[in-house]
Amino acid sequence: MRTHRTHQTIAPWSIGTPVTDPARLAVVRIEPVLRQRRPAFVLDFCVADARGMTIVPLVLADPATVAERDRDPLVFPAGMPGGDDFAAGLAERILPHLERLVLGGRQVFEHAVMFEDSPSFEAARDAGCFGAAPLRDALARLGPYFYARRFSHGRAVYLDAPDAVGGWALLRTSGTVMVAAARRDVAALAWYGPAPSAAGAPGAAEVAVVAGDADPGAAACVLRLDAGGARLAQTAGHVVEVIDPVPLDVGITFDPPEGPACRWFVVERAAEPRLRSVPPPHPTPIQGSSGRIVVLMGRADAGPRPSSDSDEARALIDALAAEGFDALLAESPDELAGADLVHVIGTRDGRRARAAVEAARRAGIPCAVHAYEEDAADGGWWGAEVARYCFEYGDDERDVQTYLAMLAQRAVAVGAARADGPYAPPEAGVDDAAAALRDASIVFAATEEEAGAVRARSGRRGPVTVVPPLAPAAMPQPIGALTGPDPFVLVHAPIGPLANQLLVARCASDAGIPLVLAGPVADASYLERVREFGGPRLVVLADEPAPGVAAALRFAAAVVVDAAWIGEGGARLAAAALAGARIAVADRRRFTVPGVAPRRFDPADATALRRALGEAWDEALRSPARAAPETAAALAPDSVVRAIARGYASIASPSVP
Amino acid sequence: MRFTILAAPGSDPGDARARASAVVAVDGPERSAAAARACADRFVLLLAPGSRPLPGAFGGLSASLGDRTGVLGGGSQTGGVRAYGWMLAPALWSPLPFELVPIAAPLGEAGVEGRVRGPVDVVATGMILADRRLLLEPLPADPVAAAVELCARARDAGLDVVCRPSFACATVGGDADDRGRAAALRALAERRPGLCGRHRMPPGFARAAVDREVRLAGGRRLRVRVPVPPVAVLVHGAGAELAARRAAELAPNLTVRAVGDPAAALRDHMRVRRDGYVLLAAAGHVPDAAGFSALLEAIESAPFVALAAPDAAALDGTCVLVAPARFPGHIEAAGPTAATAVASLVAAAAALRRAVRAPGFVAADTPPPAVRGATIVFLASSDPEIAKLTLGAVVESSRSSDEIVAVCPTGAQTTRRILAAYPQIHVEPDDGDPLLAHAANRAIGAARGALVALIADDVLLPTGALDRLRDAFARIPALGAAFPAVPGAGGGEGVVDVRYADLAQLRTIAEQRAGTRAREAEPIDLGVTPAVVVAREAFEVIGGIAPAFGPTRRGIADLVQRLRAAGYAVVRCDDALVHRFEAQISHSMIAAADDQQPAPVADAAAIARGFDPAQRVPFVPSMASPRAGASHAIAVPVGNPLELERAAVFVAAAARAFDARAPVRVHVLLDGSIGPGETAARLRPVLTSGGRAIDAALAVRVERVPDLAAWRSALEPGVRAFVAAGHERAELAGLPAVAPETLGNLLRPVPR
Repeated sequence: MRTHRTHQTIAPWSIGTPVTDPARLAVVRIEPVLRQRRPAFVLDFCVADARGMTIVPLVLADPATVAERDRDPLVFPAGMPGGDDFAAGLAERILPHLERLVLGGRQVFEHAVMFEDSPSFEAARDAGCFGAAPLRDALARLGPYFYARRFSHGRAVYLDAPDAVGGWALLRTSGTVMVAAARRDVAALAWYGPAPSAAGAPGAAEVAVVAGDADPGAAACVLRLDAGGARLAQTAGHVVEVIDPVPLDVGITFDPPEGPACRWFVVERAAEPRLRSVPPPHPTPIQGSSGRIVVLMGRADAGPRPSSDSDEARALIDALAAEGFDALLAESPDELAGADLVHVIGTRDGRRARAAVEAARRAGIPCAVHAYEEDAADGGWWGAEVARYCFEYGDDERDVQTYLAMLAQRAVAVGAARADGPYAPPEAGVDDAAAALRDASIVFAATEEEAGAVRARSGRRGPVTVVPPLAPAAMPQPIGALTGPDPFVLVHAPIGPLANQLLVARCASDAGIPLVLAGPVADASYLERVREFGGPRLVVLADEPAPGVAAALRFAAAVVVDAAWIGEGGARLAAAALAGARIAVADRRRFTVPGVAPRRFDPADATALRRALGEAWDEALRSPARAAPETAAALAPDSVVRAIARGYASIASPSVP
Repeated sequence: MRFTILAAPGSDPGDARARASAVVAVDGPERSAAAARACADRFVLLLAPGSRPLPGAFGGLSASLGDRTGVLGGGSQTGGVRAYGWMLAPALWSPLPFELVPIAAPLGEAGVEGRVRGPVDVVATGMILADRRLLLEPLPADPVAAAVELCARARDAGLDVVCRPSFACATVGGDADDRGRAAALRALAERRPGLCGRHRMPPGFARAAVDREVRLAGGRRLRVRVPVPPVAVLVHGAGAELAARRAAELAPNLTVRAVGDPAAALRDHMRVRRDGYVLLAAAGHVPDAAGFSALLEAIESAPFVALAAPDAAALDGTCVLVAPARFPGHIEAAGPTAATAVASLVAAAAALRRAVRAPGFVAADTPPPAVRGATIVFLASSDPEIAKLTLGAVVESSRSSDEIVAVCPTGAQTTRRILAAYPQIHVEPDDGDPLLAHAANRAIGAARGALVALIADDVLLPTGALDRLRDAFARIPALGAAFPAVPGAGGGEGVVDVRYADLAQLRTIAEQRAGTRAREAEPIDLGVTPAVVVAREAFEVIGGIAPAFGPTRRGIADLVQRLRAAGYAVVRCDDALVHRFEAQISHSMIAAADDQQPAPVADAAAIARGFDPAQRVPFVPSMASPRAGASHAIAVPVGNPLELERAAVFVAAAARAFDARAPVRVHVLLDGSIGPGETAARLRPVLTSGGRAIDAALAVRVERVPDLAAWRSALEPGVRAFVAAGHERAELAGLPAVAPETLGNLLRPVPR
């Protein structure tokens, strides 16, 4: 039997005695969907007899395999009861129908194939229940409950809203869920099972999902649903849109760019996660400096897709301004006119960095470069290019495991991207980046090791100054409505192949660790894969969070992970270290700070990543940390800024002191 | 002609400014619509974010704009690729009724601009010239959905949507953050059901290329653009000659014939199952270019589509496109008329799980194929202990209805005693061929089972392996051959991820794989292990094992290539793991022979060319070239590899000088370390290198002769004996030596 562990919504379930005799197959619902942007079928099986009923939802089928039969066309969800014989028996019964659909040459629409009369199924279908109704409808109904997963873990949950029985089915594995008596819809109960009834008021519920003006009691966390599809007029609380799903690639999401909203709800109250203590504010700057410093990002998409490098640039500009400099961020290397000094942050886009350095030289302007040197051609670009294929190339769990094992052995190659030699795509401009590092007036590196690498790679003879990353800082804002009150693992980076979130999400899901991914979306299809494989405890905060939210995420996160194939400097890791989070970091990353012992792992090795994640998580829960004094001293922003200013002074024209 | 430019952020109108009556910076659909409403020009130039017209983009533009021009697009250049738009392909199994198939080519590809010029489903997004009236209402925010909507509006208004490749711009690459596109396209499809499946490639493109789905190793499928394979058009009925002349313009790689007997002509064209198409059409129903293009697209919509017709009625032979290579070789277009011939193909398609794409056609249900009985041909050429072990496993794996034929050298007495222990085994001795090809072919030719399992005696079948191989034939359509997974094998059946220390561990792993990889098969184009189950009907089409190679790795590779070329699938069954003993352990003559051959490689071109039945290998040697009685015998003693190479040179010269009709026989006498299998494997290809069939080639006997003197004295009286120069032996002293270059003189009268 082929299985998958994707799109985990509600696992197969039974009511009464499980029925695992394929001869008792009652109904199969078939729906064309997009899986990894290719057409696929989703099948929901309902098997029933007088003693009970078993529902197996989200069975995946590739249409071409239905005809070609080079392997079993049906891929069953993890937790499939009955074993191989049951699965094979179900397949045998439905495959002739699927063959007709595939070979027939007509457009396939969502439909149900009835093998036996099944009033439960028909009622459930009418009621929009998951496994019986079209996914677009069923997922939208479950949306608010899906969101409530982040609040419900290990808590008493009270549901008094439409589709509450479906909500119970979704949440029952994470909390103790009760359904208001009036919401115990007969059709849904017959389909999902006997949801426990709340005797009356919400009582001691810690989480309440209610509709209209229903009373949530004293629950610390309250979700209030729309009434009749209208957007709530209420503005108190955090309004969340449920996006009209395009199953399966766009399932249950709350990310407005994914599509139009089909319903709304409000997180009316939410307990905040416990934040570690916030360090004292920056010391007062010395001031008295002057000169115009133009800061330019070493990658063109830093504006729309901010990351650690843009945080560092922003922090630097603010700090320089506080020191008295006229510091500003330029959009392109063409905007250097009037600068007394140019500071390029990173060399990801080598051509851009080189153009800036050369433009500065031509204009006689001294130029500083933050190197972020980690020899991306030595496996970084390879990993960024091939890792996603390990999740996309096959379509069942064994395929994924096989390819991940190959990835760990660096045996995966896609086109020119191979692990057995240097590889970088032409657009990386590796040689240009080296030239920029060679020709800059001064280069800043985060560690001695990085400084050595800069010299070795570029042949640079000029100064390379070691300066710790400049951590961004902001006052934390409330995040309880976004993350829930429990600790979590955080990855804060643009969501895309470079940052390797897919492997982190897979490993966190394997380990049952809650994961928050925050950052702008660099690649939407990659985000779809992250959701596909991320498991039920994944929270995606697509788009860049406000600085205060980002700060709160760092202060609340038990562990901050940076598994990126190609990093963008260490500013966010430095901020996480200052916030006292445990750190797990890819062994490619040159991040060394006194008082911080990060868990290191090979970003290609899922086993190593899972282990590092688990160890850091256990450690964080066992002994919550705070930044060590030596860490705070090493990363103190004022000392970092002054070190940079000294570097400026060493190369500056007379107008820069 | 002047236009208003709506410039998105980051775009640069460049040369277009000179032709613009106004340049309006716009950001977002609402502002664009408002700007369009405010402008007075008939045409509006839309510049996408980051776009800039290329020099010459507007040259001759006015001449391209007619009254019916609604949307004009061009080439949008990003990096080394120029995009020209999309076609809307039907997507039958998708929640969206269409799929956007990009029309793009590497920059500078010769001839591409000529092919993409003209009508197109959806223009590229970089720079678009559109009739202002189409822009009055906001377009979707997603740029691709906006282009689809804009082009649909133009068609609704009765206006043209065209691609003018020189109307080109440089632009930034498509944003990988395309969130919302799927939802936007779905909304569009719901609003415009008429968009469904227009699927119109630009005419020039459609004439030159088709999009074909290919399966990559591991199962992932993707569509690739390939040149249109050869097309044969058979026009029949009254007016066929005239219609055939008209049809000549349908595709570049086309042959057209007016035929009197369409069924026979179809059969003739399907004789070789090469990659290509046959269009069978009545004179009054020859499709136009668009209709033909639609048929091509229909047949290439999936790799399992075998026939396409404009409608179900046309399947009576009035207009039907056939992909011969998608029918395995034993399927014939049977029947006296076009209608019956096509009907037989349609029926076969249903049985083979091949699709027929013809609107209105409903395929008949066919019962699933049953698991078939087998004839097991056991090739015994190894040490008897190994043969005994593997034979036991084969007998255990067989079913009571199976037939087992053991093939072994006539003189292998120990092996024959082992075989005699199993009364159900029929023994087919081979008295002259150390590679057993002749006896194996006799056994295959006489097989009663619907499947023929060819199992060499150095292959150990764990329990259930044979059953899983035969199960594959009940599951996989048009399956010609199924190999087990063979650790370390050099063909597609080889697997590398299996390690075991002994046979007990192998059996354990095999049992686990039977569960974890149940019903998993990998299509392959190359197989080399003599452990394979072949459909008898496939054997009948392609014939037996090539005697030139025998069941060596080259012989099995040749068999697989013929099967593939004849339209059969060949797979590795990953749930059937077997062990092949190393040649040093088994001492198999067949395995030893492998070392004398170059490692075979898959030949995709040969497969695409198809299998010509004239190349069929007869199961029993033909009598066309009866061997003459030998009056001259040339001894070629071979004791070591060096001598074997020298013998190959000599045999090559002899094969050029003589054929089967000559009264000359070469006796390769093995008196050293070289075995007969290796020798046969080395010399057979030499005999057939000129394309001559082995049966028509010079007679060469390979014999192990420990006592050359005894061999000499046993020669028939009256036979003149020689020894090959360089191969002299003391026991053969006195025999005249003959060099390769003097072989031509051998049969000349010699004065006594």
